[in-house]
Order: sequence, then structure tokens, then C-alpha cells
Amino acid sequence: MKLAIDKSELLKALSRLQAIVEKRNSMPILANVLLDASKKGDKGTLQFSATDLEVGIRAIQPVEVSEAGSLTVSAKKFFEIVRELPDEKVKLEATPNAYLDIRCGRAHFTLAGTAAEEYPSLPEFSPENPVTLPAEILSGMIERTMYASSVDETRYNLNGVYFEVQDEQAKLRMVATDGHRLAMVDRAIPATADGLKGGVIIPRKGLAELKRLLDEDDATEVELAFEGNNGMARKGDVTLVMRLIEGEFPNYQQVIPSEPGVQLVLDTERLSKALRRVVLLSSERSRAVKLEISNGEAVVTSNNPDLGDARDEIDVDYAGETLSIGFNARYVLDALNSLHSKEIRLGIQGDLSPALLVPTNDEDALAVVMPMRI
Amino acid sequence: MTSPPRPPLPSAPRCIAHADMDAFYASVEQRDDPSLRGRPVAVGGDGPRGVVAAASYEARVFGVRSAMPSFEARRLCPELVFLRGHPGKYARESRRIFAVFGEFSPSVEGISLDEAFIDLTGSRRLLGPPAEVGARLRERVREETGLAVSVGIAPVKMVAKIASAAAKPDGLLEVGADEVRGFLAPMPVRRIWGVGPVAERRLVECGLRTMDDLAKADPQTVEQLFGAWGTRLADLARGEDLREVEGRGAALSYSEENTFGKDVGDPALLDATILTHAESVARRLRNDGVRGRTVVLKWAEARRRTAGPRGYPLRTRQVTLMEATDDGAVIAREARRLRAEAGPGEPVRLVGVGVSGIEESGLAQLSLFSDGDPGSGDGQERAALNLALDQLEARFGAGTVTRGSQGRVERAGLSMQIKRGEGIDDEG
Repeated sequence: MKLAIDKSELLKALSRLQAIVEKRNSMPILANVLLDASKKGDKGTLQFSATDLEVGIRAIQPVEVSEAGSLTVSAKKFFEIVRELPDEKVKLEATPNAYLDIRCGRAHFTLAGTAAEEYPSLPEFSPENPVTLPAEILSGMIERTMYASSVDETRYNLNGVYFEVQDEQAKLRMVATDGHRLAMVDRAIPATADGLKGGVIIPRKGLAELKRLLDEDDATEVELAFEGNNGMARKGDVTLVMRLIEGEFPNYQQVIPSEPGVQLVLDTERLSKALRRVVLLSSERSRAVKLEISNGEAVVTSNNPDLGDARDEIDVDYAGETLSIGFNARYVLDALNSLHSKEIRLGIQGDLSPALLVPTNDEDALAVVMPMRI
Repeated sequence: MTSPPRPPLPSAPRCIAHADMDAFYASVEQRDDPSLRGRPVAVGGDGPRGVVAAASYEARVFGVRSAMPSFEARRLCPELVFLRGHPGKYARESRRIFAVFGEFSPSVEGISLDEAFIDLTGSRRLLGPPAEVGARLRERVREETGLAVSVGIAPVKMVAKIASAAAKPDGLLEVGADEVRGFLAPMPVRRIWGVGPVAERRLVECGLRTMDDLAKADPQTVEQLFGAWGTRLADLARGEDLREVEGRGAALSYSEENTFGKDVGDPALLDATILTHAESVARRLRNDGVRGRTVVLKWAEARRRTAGPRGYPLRTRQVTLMEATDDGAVIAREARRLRAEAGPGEPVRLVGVGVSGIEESGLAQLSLFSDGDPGSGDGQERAALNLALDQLEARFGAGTVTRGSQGRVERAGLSMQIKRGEGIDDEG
């Protein structure tokens, strides 16, 4: 393998796969990036691959290849080296004893590598009918849901976001829950998504990578496909493959309140600030705060026998009997942050029933937070 | 090799009491039945696999000890009065005893039904010199229950525990900060927390028989022998240990298990036993105002694999719920499911149910998706039912109310456990 590539392009390709390479030491080669240079006529390409066996990424760059070949090297070290190189052409060459020879300007590195044959193959997956979706819409949907998924590995079926196509509509839905709160968003898309089989759970890590890809400067569209237990997203020359979560997503519809209950319209920023202030004196673990709503006023309080009491008041348009409900402040704050609306409508059914948060500027997004018994 | 600097001892030495009831179960039986007083009494399982849970001092004269197989106890002491015992009564007495402990300090760490560490460090100014406090504590327990308790007082937990054993029966022993080394010095290394027969043999092979030997041993030798743990053992042998009394709330798990008189393979019988344990564990959770999220099923296979007391392989399976529970029906349902789906494929000699992932009940994050059993009403109805049952039991004693499907199984031995933050791994 012998080739030359612009430093900036090399850096971009390597930075993209830093989050994917395996940090745990279960299989050392998974910390490496697989470099594969090929040459057809006078056109050369370099393919970068990385995987942790759950999520994999493959990117192809046009480069000047003088000799085809492949090698794997530590993705992290390679990235650190390239980051410090001068902005010039970088010359890469595999030595016969599996070192990568890196030359740029007058700098010279030989980086120990491992033969490409030992690298596990990425799931080979080239679906027939990928659906093209606007990057911005997909990214916004991930942002509004992913935070609510569970990080508890014993609840593996909640460790991702449920993705489905709404029947006979050009509409996508994403739902995430950790058992205590839930986030859901629906979005219309320009074309029908018949080619997408719905009802899959996309793992957190895959979604995080997808979002990174969607948020890159040049991203306008992405192709998406699911088949069996695999998901694929493609943006130009970059392909992301991921293993979907096998398991059943809970019946989320039954926990979204269908009755309006007591409705309050609250200023998002005002409520966020009150919660952030008051949570300072609640216990680290529970983050319990109490919301008491009476005529014209919502009072947020917390108390902690070791620390003291906190209280903040918000004016609200409410007349009726006094309501009192407890929440984990973190859950409400997460929902407020992700809903992106100046005002939100809070629907309360009772102190032991799920509360509904809907942005006033977006009827197709919502968050549900289960209260705390206090 | 340089050893890392040891954390400095707190400026004021701590004052920890270890209170241990004398022959607890047997004493309760003797108190309640005058005809048993002055006679050798043992409480425990009387089946072929039964073991002695407690022996009165009259029985100990004959060499009867707790954890001894019942048949051996009978052989040593033919006139031994062997009783199956009253677990509900012991639990009730235990609550009264712990209430007394609570009068002396807010920091009480229960080790079992009849033994606890009580942190008196902060009580000194309020209550007076430790020996006087200890004497008053012993009086109060006798006043309240008519039972004898022995108390050891020392600046370190392990030393307090050894002191209470040395004070038995019906005594008090205080080991002051400057007496600790001398008190421990002649004791065999076996008395150190965590040293079992295997570690003991290795220590003795290196010529380290007493705590003094270990305290004075070359740190490098000890470290080579046992690694970092060895350094800790040597610290303990010098009476240096900063472990605090862990008050309530530090409980990590609650469990109950029993050994069967005869091996059991019948799933229906296992399920009945599981329900009994689940209800009992749930009641203790509710008593302590906590709930648990992980249900553990434990069993020991009936087929012996190796020689010795650990020859029967112990297995556990566990499942984590969406929401913490203190409901026996939920715990039983999950434990039975574990039994059916991943449980023993062959007869067992022991089965137990435990709950871990303990959290306070008062401040509970509710769950969106219910774990409640659809067949038995919703969570709030269940909570009301459990409360009513708890009140009945508190008034009329354990076993007043049982579920229709709850089994009456011949049990050789019943053991209740609460595991706390730092394990106390000696054999009591």
C-alpha cells in the first residue's frame, strides 16, 4: 500500500470514526482503523473502516494510489499524529512488517500496525431500496428522542430509539423511553417511505453516529434502510451499518395520556431556571422537586434534611383547586431542553399519573414524564 | 518497597459498641417456658439435615454449638431439649431490642436479628463514659425483654466484636484505645475478619499464629502472601480499621432461604416455598421502608459435587424489574418465573429468595410501564392489602395470615439475611 492524501481529508476521515473504535480491550484490533487502498486505471481510492461489531462505518476517499494494499493501525494514535502534521500532502506506505510509514513535510513516523486479514469484516449489507430522507429532519428527530432512552443494560430493549413509518403516510415516528419518561416525535417527509420497514429499535450508539453524520456541514440528504437485524445509513461515500436491537419495544401508546387533564402553558426558560435553582437542594440521587399549582401561581420546591429548603415561583394562568406533584427535575429539564419551544403545555392528570409536555409551536413532538411519589 | 501512607486516624478515637444477645433463640424459649430454665436447650432444625441455630449455656457445657449438625448435638447431650423455634417471635423480640439500641445512638448497624454495632462516639458527651453507657444499655435490654446481652466496647468494630464475645455470658468488656494492641496480641489469626481455614493455614505455615505475629510481620512478606488484602489483615491485627458503623439505609439486599428436610424436585412445592420466602422478604422490606428492584432466586443442587460443606453447588438467577417493589406477590411471581425458565433442572436441597437494588420507598420514581400483576389489582390496591396484612401480623404474630397457595413445607433450617455495605465475613 502506497498513497498520498491531503492532510485535511485524512483528518476528517479519521475524526469521524474515533467514537466507533472500541475503547474496551476485549478485542485489541477493534481499536484499529482498517485502511484499504485500491486502484482502477489511474483512479485510486482509500477506504477507511472501523467497527465495534455493533456499529461500523466505511468511508471512501479518492486519493493518489501508487500501490494498492491494506493495513490496520491504532485509530486513536493515527488520528493524534495526523492532527499535529503540517497542512500538506501526507504520504502513507505500508512496510512489509506491517508498519505504517507516515511522511509529511519533514516529519516522519513509523506506526506499528496489524495485518488487514485479522480485521473482522463489517456486516456486508447493501439494501436494494434505500429511502432518501432530509438530513435536518432526521437529525431533529434524533435530538428530540434519544435522551429519553435507557442506559441501563438490563433493559436492552430500551437502549435505543424505536423507529417506525406511520401507515400509508409519508410520516416517520421515533419514540424512546427508559421506563420513567418517554419522548416521541412525528415528522412528515417529502416522499413516501414505503421502502423502509418500520418497527425497529436503533441502538443509541448507532444513532449518535448517525446524528454526527447528519450534522456534518455537507449533509443534506441521507439514505436509510433496514433489513433483518441490520440498519444502514449512507451519506455520499460514507456508509454506517449497525446491528439493530432485537427485542420488543413496549406498548408506548398506552402510556401517553389521552385525556388533556389540567392544562398549563408555561414559559420554557422560566420553568427551566426554576427547576435548575430548586434542584440544587434536592438529593443528588433522586433530584426530586415538588410542583404545587394554585390560583395564578406555580411553586417549585425541594427540601433536603441535610441541606435545607429551596423555593421558586412562576406566574401561571390557572384557576382551580391546588395540585401537587413530584418530579425528578432532570427528567423535566431534559424534556424542556429537547422540545425547542418558547412555551410548553403541561398536562397533569394526577400526582400518580404520567404528565404530558407538548411544545406550543410543534404539535408533533411530545414528552411524557412519570411523577415521583413524594 | 514503600507502602502508601495510611490515612490519619480521626483526631478523637471512635467509640463503638458491639451488642450480642446471649443464646438469643434459646433464651427467648427459656424465658417464655419456665420448665426449660436450667436445662440444656437447642433451637434449630431437628430433621436429619438440621443444624443448631442457638444453644443455651446449659447445652454449651456439653459442647453443643451453633451451626453444629443436630444429630451430633443430640449425641453430645442426650438430655438436650430440641425445639423447632418460633421465627416470628424472634423477629418481634429483635425489633424491641433494636428499639433499645436506638435509644443510645442514631447509628445502629444490625448484623443479624440479635447483634448490632452501635456507634457511641457522638453519645459520649450526652450519656457519659462508654462503660457506663454499656452497662445502662444492658440494663435497658433486660428491662424491656428480660434477656441478657453482652457488650464489647472498643475504638474499632472488629475489636468491639471480639470484646463482646470475651464478655459472654451476660457481661461487658471495654477495650480502650491504648489497650487494643495488648488485647489482640495473643489471639489466633483466625479471629481476624475474613480469615477462614485456608488463609489461617497459609499464615500458620509462615509462622504467623497470633495477631501479634501478624502485626509485627514484615509487610512485604504479608503482601507477597495475600496481596493488598494481606496489608489489610495486618492492619486489622494491629487493631487499625476505619470502617464506620453503617446505619440503616445501607442495606444492599434482603433474602431468606431454607434447607429442605428432604430434597425437593416438585415444581409446585418449590413455588409454594418461594411464595413463603417472597412474602417474608417483602414484609421485611416494608418494615424497613425500602423497596428493591432486583429479584434473586437461589438454590443448592441436591447432588453433591465435592466434599466439605460447600459440596452442593449454589446457583442464583436474577431479574431486574422496571420499578422497585415491596410486594410479595410481585417478588414471588418473578422468582417463580426464574424457577420455571432458568431454574434447577434437578432436585434441590435449599431454595431462597432475595431482593437487591434497594431504594427508599418514600421517594419513589414511578414507572410508566407497570410491573403489577394484572390478576391481583393495581399497585395501590396491593399496597393497601399489604398494609392490612402487616398490621394483622404485628398484632397477632407471624403466620396469622397466609396465602392459599403458600406451602407448609418441612424445613430443616431457616435463615434470614440482610447484607450491608461492607460485608462482615466472619462466622458470628
